[in-house]
Amino acid sequence: MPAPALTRRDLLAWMLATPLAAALPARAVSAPDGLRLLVHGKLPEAAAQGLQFGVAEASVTSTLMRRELQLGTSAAGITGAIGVISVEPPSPGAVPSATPIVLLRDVPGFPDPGCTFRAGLTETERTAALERWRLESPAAGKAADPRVVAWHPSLFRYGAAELNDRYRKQTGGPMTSEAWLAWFAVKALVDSALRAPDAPRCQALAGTRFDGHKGRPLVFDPTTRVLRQPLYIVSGDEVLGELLWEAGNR
Amino acid sequence: MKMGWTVALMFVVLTTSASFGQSPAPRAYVSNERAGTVTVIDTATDRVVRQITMAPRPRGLEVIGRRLFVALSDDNPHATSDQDGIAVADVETGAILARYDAGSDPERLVLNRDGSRLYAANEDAGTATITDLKTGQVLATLVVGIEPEGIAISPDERWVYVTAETSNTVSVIDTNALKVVSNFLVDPRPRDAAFSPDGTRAYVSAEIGGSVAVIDVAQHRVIATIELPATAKPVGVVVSPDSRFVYVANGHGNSVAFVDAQSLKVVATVPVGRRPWGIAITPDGRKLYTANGLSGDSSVIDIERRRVTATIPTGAGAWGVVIGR
Repeated sequence: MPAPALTRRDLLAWMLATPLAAALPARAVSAPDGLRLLVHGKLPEAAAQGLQFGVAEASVTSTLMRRELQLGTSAAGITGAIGVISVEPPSPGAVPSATPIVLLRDVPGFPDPGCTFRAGLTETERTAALERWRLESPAAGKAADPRVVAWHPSLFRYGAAELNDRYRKQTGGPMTSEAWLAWFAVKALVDSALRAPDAPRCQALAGTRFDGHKGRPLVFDPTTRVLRQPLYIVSGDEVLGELLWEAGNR
Repeated sequence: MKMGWTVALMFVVLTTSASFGQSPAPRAYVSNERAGTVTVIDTATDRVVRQITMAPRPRGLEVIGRRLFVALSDDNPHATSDQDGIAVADVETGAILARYDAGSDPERLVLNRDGSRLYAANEDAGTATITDLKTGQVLATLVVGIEPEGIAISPDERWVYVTAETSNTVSVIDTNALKVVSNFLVDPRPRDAAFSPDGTRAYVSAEIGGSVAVIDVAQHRVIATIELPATAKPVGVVVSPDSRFVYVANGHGNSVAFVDAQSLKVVATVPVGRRPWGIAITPDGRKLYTANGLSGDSSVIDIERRRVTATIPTGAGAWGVVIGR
């Protein structure tokens, strides 16, 4: 099934429908206070839902900090955006080099010379992570069809249960890896923009520690710009293990 | 309003320290989230004197005189039930005296000095609830950050700080206006807040940040950040009575950090039980008590000697600890 197109109108309508956003006091949008976050291209359904959820949560934070989170698509123009979220990289030159791009999946040629960050994993990295887990875990031999994921709806420590519960309440479904990656991409871009409003955006994103409800600070590796994060080994609906993914693990 | 909970219309005035029990020593009260109990410890002997059943899921707690206030909640997030609320027990008898509505899923709470007003952080609702304990009425429900937990009241009772774990924010409540008047960011996953007794500073722990933010209360602004040892996952924080030291429960770091409030340096790290979250200090500033969630006990630290002098079994999921007379 083709991925649904995500429009700003869809996202704003969804945000306004959420109790979290509705609970916030109404406030006029003023351009100087705005944080423009852009989506490039079409997102798969799970990622689109994760992004919507991320925008709803980030809107709470940004409103508390007297900034207005504005969501749009890259087609409307990128100048002044705090970042771009995409599954695939925009074509060369389409995004100003100072604007961070957070990719939800691997792409050929990454990293590029610009300001592209990656939260998702490559197949090569998944395979390497699985091999490493098999070497380190005595339970590995018994696992049926183990997979490597960035998130799982049964996680509960470090506020994961609360995050999973909030997501399920908002969307009606479980938070998958794709949904978590999109949620995290929004959070990272908005958090870094709020924390370092005057810093160059790429520098702010690369220099910020984030909480992704994984029990340790998440950062983008300064060299590879790949997210350092715990990964989870799952079999069926069971989480079998956890390992930290860092640059050089592959 | 919550169904099934008795809205407390009687304002229970029980004794103050002058007529409290037979022991002049303060007592430590440890909430045990999974056991559904509160353990009462005599700080003179460091022995358990009572277990009070407070279920389900007791977490934040406070004591005023003989009244023990405990935040209770069910295991069902996003669903307010008659199990969510603040229960009040008589610390001498364990009898439940009153129950108050304090919004959905209250996690931590604070009281003003005379015990007439209660402030609770509502974890799943993203709100803070202010309740008048004389009437049992909710005075205000305020939007704060996402997943609020830590809550502290300034010594002059003018400000209440509410930390929010997911939005990494601290919301400042003006207790006169009953409004949020300011918000500011701290390091990732703020869990607890404490004011210095002199009222000039507040300290906010950040579990994922591995740090403690130092707040200038006059400006509601972060003026410094205390970096803790790499293993620290700071949660509970208390300040010495003379405001000279800050003590931080390092959670999964299984230790307590001693911080010099002047230099903002860690001057000692004392190993304790497993995963200390709650931490409290005796009024004389001589002893610390922790609530160790994974070992189900409380570590007693002699502050001058900087070592654990007793480990007291409390119950499964030890969560918070307060000192009361």
